[in-house]
Amino acid sequence: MSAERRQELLDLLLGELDSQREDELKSRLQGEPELQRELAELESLFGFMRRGEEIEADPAIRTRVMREAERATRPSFAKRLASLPGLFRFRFQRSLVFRVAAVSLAVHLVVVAVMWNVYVRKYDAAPVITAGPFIPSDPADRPVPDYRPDQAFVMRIGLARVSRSVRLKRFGVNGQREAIRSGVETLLARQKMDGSFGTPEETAQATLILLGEGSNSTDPTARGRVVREAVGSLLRAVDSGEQSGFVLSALIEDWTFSYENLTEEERTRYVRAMQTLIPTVRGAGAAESLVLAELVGIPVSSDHSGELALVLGGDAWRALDAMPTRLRATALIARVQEDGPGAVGFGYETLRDWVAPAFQSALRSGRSGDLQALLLLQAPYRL
Amino acid sequence: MVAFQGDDPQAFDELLCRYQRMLANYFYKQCYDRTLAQDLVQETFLRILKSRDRYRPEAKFKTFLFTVARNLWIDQHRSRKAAPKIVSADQPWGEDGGRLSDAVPSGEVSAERRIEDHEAAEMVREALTELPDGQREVWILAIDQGLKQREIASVLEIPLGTVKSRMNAAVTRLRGLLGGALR
Repeated sequence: MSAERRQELLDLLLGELDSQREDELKSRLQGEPELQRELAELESLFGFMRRGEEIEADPAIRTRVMREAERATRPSFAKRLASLPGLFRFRFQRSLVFRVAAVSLAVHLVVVAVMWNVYVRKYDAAPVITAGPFIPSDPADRPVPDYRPDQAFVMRIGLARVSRSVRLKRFGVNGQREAIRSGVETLLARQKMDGSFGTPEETAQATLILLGEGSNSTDPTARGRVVREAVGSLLRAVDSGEQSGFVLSALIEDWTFSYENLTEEERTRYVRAMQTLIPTVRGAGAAESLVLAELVGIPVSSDHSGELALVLGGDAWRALDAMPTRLRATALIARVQEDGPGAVGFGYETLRDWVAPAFQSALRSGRSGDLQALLLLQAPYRL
Repeated sequence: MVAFQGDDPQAFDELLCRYQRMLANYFYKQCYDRTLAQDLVQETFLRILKSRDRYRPEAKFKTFLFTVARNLWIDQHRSRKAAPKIVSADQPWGEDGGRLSDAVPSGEVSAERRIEDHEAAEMVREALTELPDGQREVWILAIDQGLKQREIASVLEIPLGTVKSRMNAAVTRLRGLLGGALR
């Protein structure tokens, strides 16, 4: 018998054939006794082999395995939590997460409160200032400071804010800038109410102190920013129509330092502010004249020489021309002593007209320094 | 099995009841060690428990079950080769080759029939022991466990043709060993 035939019989006994092939094979078996005999022998073999010993599974297996299965299929903590009713779930979360967060928040609040109390006791013992440091840019929206109608007191408020904040290094540049702005704004607010900044000496002093405090407060980089901010406040004051001499004096006072720290746009505004202010103060009182005298001593930087020459050669020139002889002589002498005879920058005719009375004035005063300066000034121009 | 994958322990209990005896006999025919077979049955179901996520419904569970069982048997076979042989209570006992458990008479079957069955079982055991491992595996899975040859090929990870040839060789070999008894 071929192996193919025997395989067919095996397939039949093992149930591997589909019904159609099974029927075909059974019908073929009818006519082939050899196949029938072979099939009988195979059936006998299979039957005999199935008489082999059978065992039952130990019932303890099921117990052990099912215990493991229950453990493996036990819902996880997250699933059990998710299966809890909503109320319990909320309570559960509140009991863990919410409580920890609440305690943490409470501790932080206590620490902040204590630190704030220490800060207030240490640094804020000055009179209560109700005007906040953050004043709206629009003057119409600015709150009116709560101050006594005492100009000196109001000025002290502004200065106290600056000096106190400058000492507070922890405030950083921004805090100091805000404080300076607050001081200036306080003065401007007062001007808005009373129509003046107080006496020229008070206002000039206040502004100069503001700038001085700012410029001495922090490192060079931060100082530049502080001063720029102070100057920015002054420029805004000019833009808003402020024409008092103190603003100009403040601009002039820190001119060199401020000018170096300004951007190109700010420098342009700076020069224009001077151009705006100089005609208004020209020929005013003695204090304004002194301011103009200081202006003469401004060193002209090369990149803005043209614009400043316009200022000096125009309005300032006319301002000097209008000065009393004594003041003009003082201004010229100061400029020559500082920068040399060639730094004045005025024409020969002008100098001749100015220097002669100044020379006479110096002779009358008897101050050797003035005379020496005039002599130095005379030499290059052959006066 | 799909139900059990959905964390239904009752479904696993059903699988256990349905297949544990079949599995026990599969292992028993491989080693003729009752205790070892029971241990392997338990271990097989524990493995299925752990790897239930790997089961894909497109495969018959029986095929999956015997694939796990066969891999376990291979592991056991390797460790048994390395480990010292353990004497089982089911090992042949006494001069006549019987076992201790056989000495306890059963009231349901006559003594004559019991002796006859015992002799036949002994012959089957000896014949199966004579078969090479590959042929014995195919024979047990086909004849005792009723797996289709295609399923056997899947469990043993061999081609279908190899299953057929091994089956054929096993039949030839067994007929040679049991020729007298079959007549």
